[in-house]
Amino acid sequence: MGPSPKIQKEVIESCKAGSERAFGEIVLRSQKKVFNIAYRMLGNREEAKDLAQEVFLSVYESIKDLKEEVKFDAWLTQITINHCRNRWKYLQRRKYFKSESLDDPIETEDGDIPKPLYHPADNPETLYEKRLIQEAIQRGLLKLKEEQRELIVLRDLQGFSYEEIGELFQLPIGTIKSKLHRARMDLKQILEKANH
Amino acid sequence: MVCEEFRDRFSALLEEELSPLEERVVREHLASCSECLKDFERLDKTIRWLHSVEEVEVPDAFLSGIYEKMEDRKRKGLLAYQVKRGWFNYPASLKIPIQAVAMVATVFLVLYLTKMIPVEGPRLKDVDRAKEDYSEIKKMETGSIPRETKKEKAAALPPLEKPGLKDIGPTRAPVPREEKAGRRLAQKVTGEENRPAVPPPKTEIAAAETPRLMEAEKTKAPSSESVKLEDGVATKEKTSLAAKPPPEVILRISDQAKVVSELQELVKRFAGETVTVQENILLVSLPALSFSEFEKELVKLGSSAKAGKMMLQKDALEGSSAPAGAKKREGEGKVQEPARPIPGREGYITVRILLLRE
Repeated sequence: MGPSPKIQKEVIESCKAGSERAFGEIVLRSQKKVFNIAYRMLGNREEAKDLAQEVFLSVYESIKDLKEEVKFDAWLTQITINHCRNRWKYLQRRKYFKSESLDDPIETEDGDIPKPLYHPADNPETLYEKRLIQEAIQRGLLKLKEEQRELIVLRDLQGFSYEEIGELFQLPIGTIKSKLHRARMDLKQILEKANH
Repeated sequence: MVCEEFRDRFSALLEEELSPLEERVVREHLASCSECLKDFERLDKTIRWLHSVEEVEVPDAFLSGIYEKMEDRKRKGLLAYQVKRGWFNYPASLKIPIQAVAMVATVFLVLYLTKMIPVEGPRLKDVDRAKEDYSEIKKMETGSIPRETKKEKAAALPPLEKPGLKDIGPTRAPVPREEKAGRRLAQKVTGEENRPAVPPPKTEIAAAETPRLMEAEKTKAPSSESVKLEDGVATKEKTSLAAKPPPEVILRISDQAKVVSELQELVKRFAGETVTVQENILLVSLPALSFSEFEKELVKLGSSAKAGKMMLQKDALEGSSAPAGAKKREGEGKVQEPARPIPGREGYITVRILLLRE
């Protein structure tokens, strides 16, 4: 999974000037990344869609404040992460995730499916198994701490570099690597527990 | 180096971020430690699975949904802005009519209030006066107030004849005094004639005396009483007819029955009315305008009459704590106090005539 296509500086400037066409272009170029981060962070398509739309509304309202157009992607990711954190807190207050466990079915694009009856050590051969793996990963992500989930989503799912993540989190790269390793180990542990 | 330290390098080993030396040391440990090798393999699989996770597609109508939200937000924001703007930001075309209406309403309110206040004021005064009269009547009926106390109160009141009070006109203050005096007379008429209490001074003139003699007498006695009397006359002349105390007349007679009948005829001649005839006291009601003529006829009746000013003399004497002039006359007769004009007969005055046998 690679980063979204680079948005040209002129488009950002046009959007700053109030061009809805430029804004639409920014949305089309960035929507997949924003929506996927939101979906992996929240685990729900509707919530992710709503959150991603809110992110772009924030972009439209505050793009005038963006000083450096070259940092647009980092700026957009930061807005997305911030929205995800706020929405996560909001959903937690509403006990949205309380009843969920790795044994519960999770929403997918095709509807709810039962928990995968496999171990990460097993070799998923079929497409069905691949889908089961993805859902297991999603369940595991939701069991992680928020920061760990962010790190794994950005690095392992979205392909961000350590430098980019370090800038977003305002942390040294070494610290990011260490934290990411701990997050991966915890996810591995969660998947093992879910299988037993 | 323990197993935990090797496990901390698994991610770096998988991402090929270890130096060749570090990588060789870790791989040697993995070859010798089955637990660490198993853990490493599971982590490797987890990361591969993570990398295998595919992106989900963006739902349909994602961009149009953003535009819809944008429109909603504009509407809400406009509403919030309008609420936030407040009065001062309203356009003048809206503010001026509202201010004009408020101004007109204020003017009407002020006019209404100013119209109401003068109406309410006199009513309250009437109520106060009625209360005062009622309390006086109560006191008189119960007789709880001794005569001496009343006299002291009367003496304590500022005399009407003071020059400073001339301009006041017919004030209400004397009215209760007149009422009091009238009621005292009523008590006297009903059988208090022999009371030993010191009566207020009275003036008695012989029947043969003429008004000129009366004036001569006044000039002969230039006492404080007469000075006050003059002042009092001046003050009373300024007051209205209704406010003047009714005059009283003392007649020295020899035949009471005859004089009484003559008096009644005289009163009728002057279009008056005999109110009461009680032993030696007559109360008659006369038109105020014909009183002077009546007074002259009264003198001709056989005895002297000194009307009008007598009451004033009495007031002056009371106000000056019974001066010498009054004391001289104390023994000559009884207390004579004016009666009140009969209610409902405006323009009439009540004259009290006291008959004294010679």
